[in-house]
Amino acid sequence: MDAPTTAFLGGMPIEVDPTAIDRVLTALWKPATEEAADGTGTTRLALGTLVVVADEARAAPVEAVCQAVAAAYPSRIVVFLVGARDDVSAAVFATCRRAPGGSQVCGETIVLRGGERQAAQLPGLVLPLLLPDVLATLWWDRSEPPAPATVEALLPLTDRGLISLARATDPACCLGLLTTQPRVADLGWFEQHTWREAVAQFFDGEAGVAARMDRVEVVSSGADTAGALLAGWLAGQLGWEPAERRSERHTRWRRTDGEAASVLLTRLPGDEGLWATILSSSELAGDWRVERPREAPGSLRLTAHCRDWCQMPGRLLLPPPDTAQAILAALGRPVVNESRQRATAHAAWLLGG
Amino acid sequence: MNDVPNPFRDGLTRSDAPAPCVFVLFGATGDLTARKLVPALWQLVRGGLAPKQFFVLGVARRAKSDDEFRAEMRAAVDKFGRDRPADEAEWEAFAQRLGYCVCEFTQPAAYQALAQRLRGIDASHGTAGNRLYYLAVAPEFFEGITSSLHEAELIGPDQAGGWRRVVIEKPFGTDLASAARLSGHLHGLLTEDQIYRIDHYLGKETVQNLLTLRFGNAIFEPLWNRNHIEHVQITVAETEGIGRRGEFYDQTGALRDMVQNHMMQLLALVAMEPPVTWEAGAIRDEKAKVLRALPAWTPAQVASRVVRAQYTRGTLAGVEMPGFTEEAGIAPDSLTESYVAMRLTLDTWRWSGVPFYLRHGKRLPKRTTEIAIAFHQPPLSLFPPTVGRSGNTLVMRIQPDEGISLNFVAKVPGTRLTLQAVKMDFGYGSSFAQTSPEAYERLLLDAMLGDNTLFTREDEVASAWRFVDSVRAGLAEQPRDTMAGYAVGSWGPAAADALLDGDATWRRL
Repeated sequence: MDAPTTAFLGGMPIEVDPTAIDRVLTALWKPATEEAADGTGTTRLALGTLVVVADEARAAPVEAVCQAVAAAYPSRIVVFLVGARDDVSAAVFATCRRAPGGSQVCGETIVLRGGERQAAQLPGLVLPLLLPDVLATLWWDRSEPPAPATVEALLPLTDRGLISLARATDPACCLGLLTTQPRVADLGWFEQHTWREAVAQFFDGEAGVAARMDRVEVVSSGADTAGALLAGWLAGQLGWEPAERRSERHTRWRRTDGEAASVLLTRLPGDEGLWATILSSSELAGDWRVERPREAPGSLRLTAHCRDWCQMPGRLLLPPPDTAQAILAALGRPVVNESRQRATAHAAWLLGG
Repeated sequence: MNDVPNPFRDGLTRSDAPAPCVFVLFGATGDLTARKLVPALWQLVRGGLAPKQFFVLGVARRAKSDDEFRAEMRAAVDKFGRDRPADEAEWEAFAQRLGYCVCEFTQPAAYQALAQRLRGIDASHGTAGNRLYYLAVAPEFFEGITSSLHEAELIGPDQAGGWRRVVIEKPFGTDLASAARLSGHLHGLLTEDQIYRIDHYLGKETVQNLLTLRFGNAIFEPLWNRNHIEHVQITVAETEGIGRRGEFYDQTGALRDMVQNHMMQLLALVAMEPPVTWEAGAIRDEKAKVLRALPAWTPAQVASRVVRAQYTRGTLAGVEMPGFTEEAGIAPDSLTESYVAMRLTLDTWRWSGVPFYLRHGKRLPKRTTEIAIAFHQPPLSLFPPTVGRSGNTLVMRIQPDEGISLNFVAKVPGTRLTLQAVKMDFGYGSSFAQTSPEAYERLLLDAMLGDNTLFTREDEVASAWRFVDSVRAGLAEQPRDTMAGYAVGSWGPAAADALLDGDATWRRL
């Protein structure tokens, strides 16, 4: 194997001409795959293409996320970093891991650096780099939402988009994007999976009880969007329809049987995200609580109290927020999710949209 | 459990969750419990897949306290578990759901004590009267235990006070008559839907993926018939000998130990027609049809289609090992086979005339299980001979390196027209950087969920026995000197090569 290929496989960035990326990659891979045929076992593998758009200032955390994603999901990762420059540079490197049996499985990362002018021409930069026949995902890490022209040009050519409402400077705008583009999801949605699982566990085998809920409260700190998304999901799964906005945080809803219900978003100081969700039923005189205890924030405590039915307290481990895990969770799930769509639409309404 | 779907499960990773239950584990001091069952249950609990209200009650004859049982299971999880407990708190949360009950299987009074213990667990752990009984015991106890459970009103077709399911481990009988007797006995106590005959092979990822490959892709099914397939090879090769199972194995043999169950199930999955729905009944109907299409053979047919053999002294991985009849527990004049190969055909439109070659043996050079679909050669040979084996073969590797590969020929770069066999390979381990669950994890969860798709139905068992019994009867009539030998570490007797038609050869694995 020649020196450039050895460096490339070792994860060292190789500067390349941005117009000749695929040609250089072919040349770099050739010695490795030829040796693979002889039995040394290096496999170039791409389950998909992940296109990442981020600000240059976020280069380090984004790279760490990409490394973690590549380790679990061998793919072509195209990172476009937007900084203060007016040209485009490119570098490539491989991300390898040992598979069971000892062979080496490698994906590849292409890092492009450019300025705002190039960002505006993103589709032209990125589309030639999408691999055919495999899932293409766009992760938009910038705090500004993508321009309409970018959305129109790029989204139809990718299979799914991922944005982060928590990092958005204009959450309302991003929620608008999420509600109009079913193939775009908020990464926060995937980070809330354990909360949703916890709520679901209350009603496994007792699903009829859920229809008797008439109040939902979500307690959170930091960005409003996380609480609204969870509340939107709860209301959506219960089949509630928005009825009236009583105040900024208190809304009235209509249940499937026509009875009234309410959703309350309670805000606490700080920036730690979700703290609790409480479902209540006045008919059953009870409540079902999922809480993140202050003394054990890495877990969720489940408690239920009601007149006719109760449940032993339970506990679930709450994985810390992890963007790479959220992306991997997204990659492992169907692109369109009706529950998420409903939740997003309700969240937009809860936040006044 | 009511039938209203949980609205909060819609769209979650787990669309269904098992109802609260007690997992009652007969044979709690046995090897299977320590190696497979409790590590699998631990993994399910750890992954949040088991019910929240869940309890594992170990049942066995040996006196033991709850704490002693927990300590033993902790050691088992440490040794055999896929994941170890992250800390003591995590283990303790699981351990509190473990208990032990001494039960002399043959004493009816012991089942009253068991019933009382189970009622207590329902009260303390909210397990709602649901029970999954797992019989990890020798088959001679199946009837006694289930009868006693029934007499103590712990099982029965009436599930008003909570569901009742019974999982039994193979062997499901030792021949058709005993299998029918066992099924008849169980059906006197339970409905077929409550009986889960477990074959751990069906919990393996590639075995399940076989159906996905066939019915989730449009390209394979049109080729999946006699017009395109030359033959099918199913191999279950083991490097292990008979270990400490000498006496059992001498009564059983390769045919009954492996062919009647695992290999017949693999055959059924390869050969079945598309099910009308993705539901247990529909899938099992199609598997059963395949096994029904296996004719009972005459002794003359057995003589020409089956080769049996015993391993003889030889070297495997540099270690010299004794021959089969030198093993502890094996009679020196034993006529039990440690290797069996056969050529069979299925009397169906799809498969008429397509040979299925099955081979299984102990002390072979590699531990590997695979299904290989060999496609016809092109009708006209336009090219010079291929470097390496020619022909297209689709191989589904079931263990140890689960995956799928397709062999085809390609032109070697250069000015000359030279063809070489190449391989496209999909490996679970390399494509999905996540560990597949152990087969038992999947199967135990399915049993808790009441999904018996991957469990064997009574009629499948009966059809497989009908065929295997005819083979055994034919072998019994053969003279002693038809028992072939093969050296430890070889791929079996030379006589097995003669089973293959035309140019076909056993795959070199």
